[in-house]
This record gives sequence, structure tokens and C-alpha cells, in this order.
Amino acid sequence: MDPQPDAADGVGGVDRADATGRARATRGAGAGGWFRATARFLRTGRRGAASPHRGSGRIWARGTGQALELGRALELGQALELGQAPGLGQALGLLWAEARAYALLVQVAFREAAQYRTSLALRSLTEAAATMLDLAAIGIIFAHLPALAGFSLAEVAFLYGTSALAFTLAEAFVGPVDRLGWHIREGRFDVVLIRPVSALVQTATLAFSPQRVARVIQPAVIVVVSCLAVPVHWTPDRVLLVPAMVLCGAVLAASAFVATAAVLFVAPDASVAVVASTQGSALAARYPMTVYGHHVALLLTVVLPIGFVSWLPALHVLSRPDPLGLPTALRFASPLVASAAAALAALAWRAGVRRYRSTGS
Amino acid sequence: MTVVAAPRPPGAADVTGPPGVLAELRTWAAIAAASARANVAYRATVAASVLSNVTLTVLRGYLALAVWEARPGLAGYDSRHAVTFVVLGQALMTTFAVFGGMIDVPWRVENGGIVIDVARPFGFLHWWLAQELGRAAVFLVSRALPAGLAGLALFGAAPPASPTAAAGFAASLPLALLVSFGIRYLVGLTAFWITDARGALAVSALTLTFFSGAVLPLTIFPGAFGEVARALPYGAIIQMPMDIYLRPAGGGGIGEALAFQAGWAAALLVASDLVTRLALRRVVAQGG
Repeated sequence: MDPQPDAADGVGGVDRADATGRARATRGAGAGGWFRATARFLRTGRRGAASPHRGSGRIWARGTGQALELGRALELGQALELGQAPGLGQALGLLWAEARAYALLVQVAFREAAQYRTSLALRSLTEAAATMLDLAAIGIIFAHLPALAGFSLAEVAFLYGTSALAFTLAEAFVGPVDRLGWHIREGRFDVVLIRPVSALVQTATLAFSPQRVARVIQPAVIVVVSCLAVPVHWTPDRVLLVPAMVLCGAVLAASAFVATAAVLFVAPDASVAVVASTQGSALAARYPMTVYGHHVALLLTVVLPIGFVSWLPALHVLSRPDPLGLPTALRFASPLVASAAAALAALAWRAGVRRYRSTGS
Repeated sequence: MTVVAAPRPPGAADVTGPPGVLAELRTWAAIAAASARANVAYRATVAASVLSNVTLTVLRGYLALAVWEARPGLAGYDSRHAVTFVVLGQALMTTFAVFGGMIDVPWRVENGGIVIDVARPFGFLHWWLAQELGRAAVFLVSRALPAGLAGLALFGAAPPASPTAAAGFAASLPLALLVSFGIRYLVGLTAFWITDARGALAVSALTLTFFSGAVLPLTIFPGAFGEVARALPYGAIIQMPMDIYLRPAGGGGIGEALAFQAGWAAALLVASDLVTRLALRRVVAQGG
């Protein structure tokens, strides 16, 4: 391992331990992984997200005797930013490096959690059980009604399963970004900005909770069961559309998570609002859009892309006419919409990082 | 919630003699006021919260309409009453923190700040309850009121069924807050034993939302499941206030609903006090 700045090491170690609250015995492992990642990035000579705090970062680095290495990394980052746009190879290289950093940090979180296997198993079980309540709400409605807005139980279960799978996947991968407000208030985001890994990757992994992954199980089972239950003639395009819509839905949901978390840069106390808005989108995607009336349904498909998570592709899978009369092509537009949403979320996040000011106290 | 150092009124922590009731009340008021100020400090937060609250109000309102238009008279509500239930219940959700959390105990345990809370010259439980009162007052005005008015405007919600119902509804709100506080405080205290309380918090948020009656009225939960759901303390948070609000004149049962709330509130506060004692014995201040 490269000789690391002692101060930065200390901060890194303490930070992870704080964020996860895990016992100090595991701190070494977490910090070790972090150091290796840091060392790798410093060696490859690049840094992560565009940092508006370049100046302060540099002063801080000098203070820790790390000016040379970090300075070199920062200058390269500046060159990338100010000079000509990076080539495709360079851009892909950056993306690949961030993906590896993400995988590494998630792996560390899993290894930390695996120190207490029974606890992890119990927490995973309770999380998986708690998702049953969403399903119970649908069950209660159908205990009184034969069909909701013309959709049968199996069809609503399909809508619920695919959208919930998309949302739980997104939550498992980037869910911890909603803790950003706390990181900012506690003054820990300063540290995030001077590390050579993208601020987004760090925020998404800083409070990563492995047990969240267990929430994916129930919706996945519902997707399979409802696919068997709906009266659909399964042609290849329909079979392919199911995983595609879940994937696009997950990208859409992750974009929503990141974009709303970017609001926390302006209003660090709004975590509850972020949770409420993501729960709102999950709720909206769960039922046939026609439940919400014509105007709200249009708002939820055309303005907010929630309809693209499951509703529009599901209309093709279930071979139903569109009650809103939207063009059929939109049923296959989810990949495009998801890409656009991801780009917008990235812009929002960047704008947020640029606006970030350290806490006063 | 940001912990704000409450200005200590003279005599509140007078070690030479027991503080008077007045001084005690002044301390409570000072902590609640400080907590309220912390909660209005972030204007953008209030705006974001109101926006998301109104969004959820619209979604849940339409869902209720769709269900009750297909089955008018379900659970004894016509569609207007059902929409009123869902829309006003949703408006109250943030005030009663049905999404869980809003009590920073787990966070303070994680970062060690809990040591300061333990050392305050004011009871640990009282400190958090006083803060909660300040927070809820701000949320009632800044969140529940706009969301409730939006619900009224969009869905034409019904007014309280009678003056008695209105008075009962007003009386049920503080009790609902105490029940909600008791549950969330107890969940927060688990942090003393399991350190990473996020799992417990997530599960409690889901159960709170579901069994409080905020998602669907508990009165339409079928069979034995419904019986159990209606007996749990969660119902005291949204179901009972809305029940009282919609109770027709001379319908009776308002006293029973209030007694249900008061009983659970008392039980939860006693439990909170006991568990607080156990939890505080576990506090170890580690140097670092």
C-alpha cells in the first residue's frame, strides 16, 4: 500500500465506522478496502466527481502532506474539465473505474455485515417480511372488489410486482443517497469531496445496508407468480419485455432517487420529503394509472415518467388498449426515457454538488 | 432534527433545591420552542415536504375514490367520507411522523452525541418528548394545514360530522401524537442494543404507515386480520382521529375512541420510561 496520509486515513476509517455504526473490530477491514481503493485511484492519477471545492481540497491535502499526489490527480481532473472533452476511451475508463470503486465499497459493506451473520439474516428476514404489507394493501382492496379500474387481481399483481421490483432494486443499489442530508449536516460531505472517488458512488455506499437487498425477493416472486396467472399468450417480444421493463424501471427509479437526493444539497433537512416522494412514485406505479383519473394519469406518464416504469410496457404484455389513448410506440420507449432520466439525474446531482456549501457548525 | 441547545431558564436545573412546577414547564416550553425554531430554519425543506405531502394526498384520494365508487358504502362510508378519511389522514401523516424516525436517538447513539443527552439536567425521555412537541406543532401548521386544505379543494372533503365530533377530533390529536411518539421512541431506543437501528427503523416505518390507517382505513381490513389490526396501538394515530371526525351526530363511541388512545398513550409512555432506564445503563462513553 502506498504511504497514505495519516489524517485522511483516520478520517476515512472513522467515517465508515460512524456511517454504519458497526463494531470497531470491522473498522480495519472497511478502512483497508477504502485505502486500497484510494491508493489505486491515486496511482492511476485521476479523481472522481468535479469538485467545486478544489481549492479547499488542495489546502487540506497540503496540510496532510499529500499535496503532491492529490495535486497531480486534481490537475489531471482540471485538465479534463477545462481542456478538450475527454475521448470516448477516457470517458469509459472513468466510468469503469467508478463502477469498480462502487463494487469494492459494496463488497466492504457486505463483508462488514457478514461479521454478524445471524444479525444480518434476521434483519434481511424482517425487511423481506415488511414488504408483505404492500402486497397486503392490494389483497385488502381485492377482498372487497372483483376488479380495480377494470384490472383483475393478477394484472394488478403484475403491475405491482414489476414496479416494486424496479423500485427495490434501485433502493438496494442507490437507496443510501437519502442519507446525504445527514452527511451534510454532520459536516462529513467535505471529506467525501476531497476523496478521489465520485461523490455519488461514495454517497450511495457510505451507509449501504446489505439487508435491503432482501426486499427484492418478494416482488421478484410476485412477478413470476403473476406472469403465470395472467391470461397472456407469451410471444418472444412479451417474454423479453418483462426483464427489459424491470431493468428500465430500476434505472428510472434510481434516477428519481438521485435527482431527489440532489435536493438535499439545497435543503439538507428534507430527507423525509425525499422518502415521501420516492414512496409516492412507488405507490403511483403500483396501480393502474386510470385509477388516478385522466388528468393525473397523463401527468404521471407524460410529465413525470412514472408510467414508463411498469404501466405502459405492461399494457403491451397484457395486450390491452391504452385507456389514455397514448401512441403504442410509447410502450417500447422505456429505454429511451430511462436514459434521459438518468442524464437529467446526473445533471441535477452535479448542480447540487456545485451548490454545496459546508455546514456552519 | 437538529439538536438545539435550549436556553436554560433560571432555576430549571437548580441543584440547591427542587425546581418548581412553573420552572419545569418553562424548561419544557424552551426546549419545544428551540425544536420548533430548528424545524422552521430550513424553508426549502418545508416547501419540499408540503409538495410531496400534497402529491401523496392526490394519489391516495384518487385510489380511495376508485375503490369506493366500485363499492359504495364499504365500511359504512360513502365515497365522500372515504375521501375525507384518506385525504385528512394523509395530511396528518407527517405531523404524527407515520413515516417513522424524526427522533434522533439512533443517530446520537451512532455518533456518540448521546452522552451529552444523557448528561443534560433534564430527563432523557422528557428531553425528547419536549422536542417532539415543538416539532409536531410546526408540522401541524406547515404540513398538515396546507395538505388538508389542498385535499379539501381537490376532493371537497366533508366537514366534521358534528360539533362534538370536531371537539373530539381536536382532543384526539395530542393523544395520537403521544402514541406515535411512544412507538417511535421505543424503536429508537433499540439503538442502545443493536447499534445499527436502520433495519428496525425501516420495518417500523412500514408497520406504522400500514397499521395506522394511513394507507387504507382499518375498518376495511377483513376478518381476524382486521380485528388484530384494529386492536394494535397504531390505529390510535390516524384511524381513531378520523373515526371521531366522521362520527355522525349522536353516534356515540367518541369517548371509547379517546379512551383507546389514552390507554395506549399511557402504556407506551410507561414502557418508554422503563426501557429508558434500562437503556441508559448501557451507555458507555468511550474515549477516542
